[in-house]
Amino acid sequence: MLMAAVTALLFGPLLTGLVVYLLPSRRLRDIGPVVLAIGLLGPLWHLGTEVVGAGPLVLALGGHFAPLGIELHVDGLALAMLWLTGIVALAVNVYVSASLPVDAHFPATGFRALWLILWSGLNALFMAADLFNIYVMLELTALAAVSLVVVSRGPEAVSAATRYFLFALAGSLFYLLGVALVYGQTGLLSLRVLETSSWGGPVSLLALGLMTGGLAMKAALFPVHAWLPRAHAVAPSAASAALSALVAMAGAYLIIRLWLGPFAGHWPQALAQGMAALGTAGIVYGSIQALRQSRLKLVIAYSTVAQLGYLLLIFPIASLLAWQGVVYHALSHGLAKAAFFLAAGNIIHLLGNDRLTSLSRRDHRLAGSVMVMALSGISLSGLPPSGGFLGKWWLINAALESGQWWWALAAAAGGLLAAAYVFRVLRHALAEPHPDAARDAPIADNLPRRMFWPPMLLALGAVALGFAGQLLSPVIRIGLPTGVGG
Amino acid sequence: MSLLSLIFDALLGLGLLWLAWRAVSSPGLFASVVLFMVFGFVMAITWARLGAPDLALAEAAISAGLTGALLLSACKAALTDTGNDNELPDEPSTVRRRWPAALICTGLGAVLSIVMIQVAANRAAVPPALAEAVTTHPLDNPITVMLLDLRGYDTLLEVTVLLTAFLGVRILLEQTELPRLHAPRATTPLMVDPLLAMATPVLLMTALYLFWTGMEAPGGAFQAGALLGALGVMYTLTGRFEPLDRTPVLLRLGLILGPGMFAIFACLALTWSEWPLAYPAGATGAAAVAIEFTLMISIAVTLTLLFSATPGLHARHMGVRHP
Amino acid sequence: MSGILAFSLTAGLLFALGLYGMLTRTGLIHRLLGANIMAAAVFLFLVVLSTRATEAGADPVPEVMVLTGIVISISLTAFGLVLIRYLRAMTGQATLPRSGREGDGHSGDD
Repeated sequence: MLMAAVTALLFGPLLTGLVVYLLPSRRLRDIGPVVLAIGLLGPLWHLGTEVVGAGPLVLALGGHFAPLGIELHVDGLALAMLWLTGIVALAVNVYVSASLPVDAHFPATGFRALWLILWSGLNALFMAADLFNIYVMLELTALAAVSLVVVSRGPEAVSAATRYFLFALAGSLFYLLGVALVYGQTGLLSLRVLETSSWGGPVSLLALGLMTGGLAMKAALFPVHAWLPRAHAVAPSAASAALSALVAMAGAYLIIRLWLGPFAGHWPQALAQGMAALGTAGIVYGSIQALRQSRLKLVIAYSTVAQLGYLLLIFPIASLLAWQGVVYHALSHGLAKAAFFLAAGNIIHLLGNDRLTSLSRRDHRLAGSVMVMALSGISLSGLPPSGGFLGKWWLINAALESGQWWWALAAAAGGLLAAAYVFRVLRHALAEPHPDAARDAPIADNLPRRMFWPPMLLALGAVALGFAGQLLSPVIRIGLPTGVGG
Repeated sequence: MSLLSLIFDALLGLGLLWLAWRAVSSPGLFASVVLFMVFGFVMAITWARLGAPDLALAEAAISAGLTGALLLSACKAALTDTGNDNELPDEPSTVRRRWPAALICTGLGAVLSIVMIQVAANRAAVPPALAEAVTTHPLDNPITVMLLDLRGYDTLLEVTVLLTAFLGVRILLEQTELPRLHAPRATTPLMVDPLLAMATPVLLMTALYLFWTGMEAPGGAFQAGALLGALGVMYTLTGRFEPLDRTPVLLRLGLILGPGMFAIFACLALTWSEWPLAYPAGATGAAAVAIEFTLMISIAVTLTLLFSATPGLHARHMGVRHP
Repeated sequence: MSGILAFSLTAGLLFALGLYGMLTRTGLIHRLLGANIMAAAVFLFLVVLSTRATEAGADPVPEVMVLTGIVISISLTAFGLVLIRYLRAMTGQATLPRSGREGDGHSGDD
């Protein structure tokens, strides 16, 4: 049963994608992914009870354990990310069934096929435990993600996609060179075996540097973030939600895996301080840029640059509490950011554009989306009682416990800046109607329920995470990597 | 003898560096592409020299050959779309960036070469467990054992990457209508018909041979698929395949056959084994041949379609010539 | 074998050369060539790694990484070339505008 659950997560979306591409039936491509997403909650539940009951899992594809074959690992962190992927995918599938154009031309089918392949790739990436397998998966997810950006037509989309493509290409080559160095030095690719074998020295530092640099380009961490805002802003909103909440985060996830797993203890504390400094620079830069944008989706995209910076704060602290805080932050950011982007998609659906000044229409049809933005904004800026608050609270406490008050300051300041850009958006929505806003008439009369509820439930989920801390923190701690101190 | 081989290695290495330098630095697009293709062939010779002839074959066929054809096609596209095959001169902003970039790259190159020499000098033998697993495996060729069984998951994902590239291209093709690159000509040059008539059976036979021999000796689905893809490229270039504005169901089937069957096999493995992707005991050879065959078909179809950069192709009836 | 040292050195320098091309060229096809040279450099290093264990035969793991990498590399190159062609056709440029100067076009069209 356990194997069947994992197999369904790995290959279910992929095979559905292939069928959707082969048989162009509108009913199939609209309903199939939704049914799949609901169906996959079963395997996720089963996997969850198994991991909670029996501890972290090691699975061998084809029955070949490392170092012969490719293994998959599911620990608490991977489980959390798989659940996040499942929930965001469900929301995206329901949303897409109403939001994409209904005529039968290719992009509607192509979008589904690429998104389903991407979904399989994300599930696989969060379970991956083999350095080279991760490389293949990175290329697969990047190629699907770049193509999803192009689904929005026009020169803006193609130029944003090209920039994304070049960064992704360079990033994976840096990563692959790092993998080659690790293999050359140790003859190993498995994260589990590497974690228990004694090696290190300058080669390991260089390999870690190359892989971190490459993954940072995929995750758009400051200062290699230049591609993200345009790409995530121009993509269809359903794709933006998945790209920001899952794809970009996957890069940061892998950096954390590598630093605290197989490379734990290989890096000096100064390097960890440097990483956290880059993360802080990302928080400040992304937030300030978000404050300066005049388009809603650019505000949200720059917010992703800022929010991913938090994940780097774990390295200098590396305590249990910091681990909990960072994982919780990733989870609540994923839910809130997906909700935010889908709400922006609803506004574009109603108004035909996403200029902040257009929000001041005082139109009752906008009210639901504004509320979603307010709810997810609460979590993004870390206000109680949201999941974002709990994540930041744990992170700040961990920083203070380790005596590094400056990182607590960075996390708190980041929350204030996030509150500033969220309230700037809300202020536009509540302001006197702007002269520009009256000019162009709304393009749609109403919002389908299948587009309204997914972001609303995601945003409520991000807030509700704040009450689930007691329940979820033991799960996140299952199978801690060696780099996390007690 | 050892002095001679040292000189030969040094010449190969210097040649690679010089070709790469010219390819990234020469202003003309066409010149760079040709230099890159030569670079690919010298790289293949280098790999053969290092004692990896099967990799050299794949590098020559896929990297130098097919990538070269794609790049030449891109040059032609630049010419068709703009009437100018030179890319624009580099912007002043990037010319100013040259010195910092040169500094960074020199530093990186120095560190990398020092570390890589050290790493490569570790004389690590093949782990005994791996050597044993490979020699006792029902499939004979170690590379095939790795590609289809031990690291079969990577192979499945890799053909999915190939399919994804086509789906991405297909999305791009919806953007706007661009001039066709490989329009059929009114008259066929004198030598094309006899050459194709000769090349078709030779390439087909070689591909089938490579496919079949892949079980025991160097070769396999990838080399065979690449050769068949090259044949498709020739048919596209000479106008024997005509572009379509949609992908017929048979082509769609061809595109997804490889990854689809491999993924279905991965799931079905749970009925005869504890693990996904495991081979049924006693039927490893047959299953591997079947998977490799579907992979070969998908690789050939996908590469041909990627090269033509059209949604679909169909064979032109050769009896009728459109003026 | 002398080749191991010579070609490790070559691979390191080739990676840096390809990166230099990617950083300094504005022509996008030239940048893609740079990336392909970086990829070739990594593959060359992997081939060196696979052949250094000659006593017990070549190490199949790096060989398989190279074969997989080559197919992935051609997939990305094929996609990238079409992407660049459409960029040129739709913007009239074979280069990317500098970030932050991409006009005030609309973002997102669901």
